[in-house]
Amino acid sequence: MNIRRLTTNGLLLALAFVFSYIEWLLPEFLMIPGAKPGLANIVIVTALYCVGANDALMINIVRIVLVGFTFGNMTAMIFSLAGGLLSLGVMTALKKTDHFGVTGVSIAGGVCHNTGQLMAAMVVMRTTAVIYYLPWLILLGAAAGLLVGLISGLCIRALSSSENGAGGNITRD
Amino acid sequence: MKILKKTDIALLVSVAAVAAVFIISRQYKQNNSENDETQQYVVIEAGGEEIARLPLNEDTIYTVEREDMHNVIVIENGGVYMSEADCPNQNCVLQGKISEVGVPIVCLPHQVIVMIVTGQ
Repeated sequence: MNIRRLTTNGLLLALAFVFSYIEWLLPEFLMIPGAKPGLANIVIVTALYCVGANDALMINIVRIVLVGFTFGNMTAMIFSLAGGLLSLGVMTALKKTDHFGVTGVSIAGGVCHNTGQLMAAMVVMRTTAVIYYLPWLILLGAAAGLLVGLISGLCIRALSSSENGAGGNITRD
Repeated sequence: MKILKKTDIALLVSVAAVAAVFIISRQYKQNNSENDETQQYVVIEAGGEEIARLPLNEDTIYTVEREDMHNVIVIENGGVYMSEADCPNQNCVLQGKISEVGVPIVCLPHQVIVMIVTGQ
């Protein structure tokens, strides 16, 4: 692992952590458990496009574990992991097909994040009662994904065009 | 790299449509079952196990105590709500009263679920 990769991933991780903290301060929307805009996913989607799927996965797992120990509890961490892994897996696959733009990839990610969390909730709480929330979580996940995707798209564009400028770039190829 | 493609919008619209169909059809089903005169019960689950089943038409206060966790559930005037809980986010308390089959009150941190069921 070279120094550029190490520092880039470290910076992205720190950024994702800060976004998670900001989100932790926000109240949950609409009384639906776990309904959040997913600000940290701006970093994850940007990382997926700029540093690749493997590093994005690494950043996401470390972020979830750190955030879980700092602000959350074990249950919250399991939910996050389930959502995060399913979401990033689907986003990586969709990005590879090249049929979707950043926004589409992110929308799918948002929907899968919430679906994954709900599936984890069903396993942890050993009940299917929470499935009531699924349609709402899909809608909210799509909305959050849209927001995250548009912001990430702008970030990715800015980061890749700074390649020729004085600011340097974080993309590799 | 494209930020927004036509397929992205198609994806968004179709996902939203599927979710909306589920929500609307469930609402419709609920309206139809409201005429049912059968007895309704409040089912309280904790840690995945049913711990209580109380008739919805009898006013009661039920306290769930597990380890260090407390949830106070109040059945009142054909509805049920969580009046007190020592969980960190208080979502269950803020959710207020439910009086229909379907919408559960969920206290995720304590793994407590309160729902209304029809019949036995």
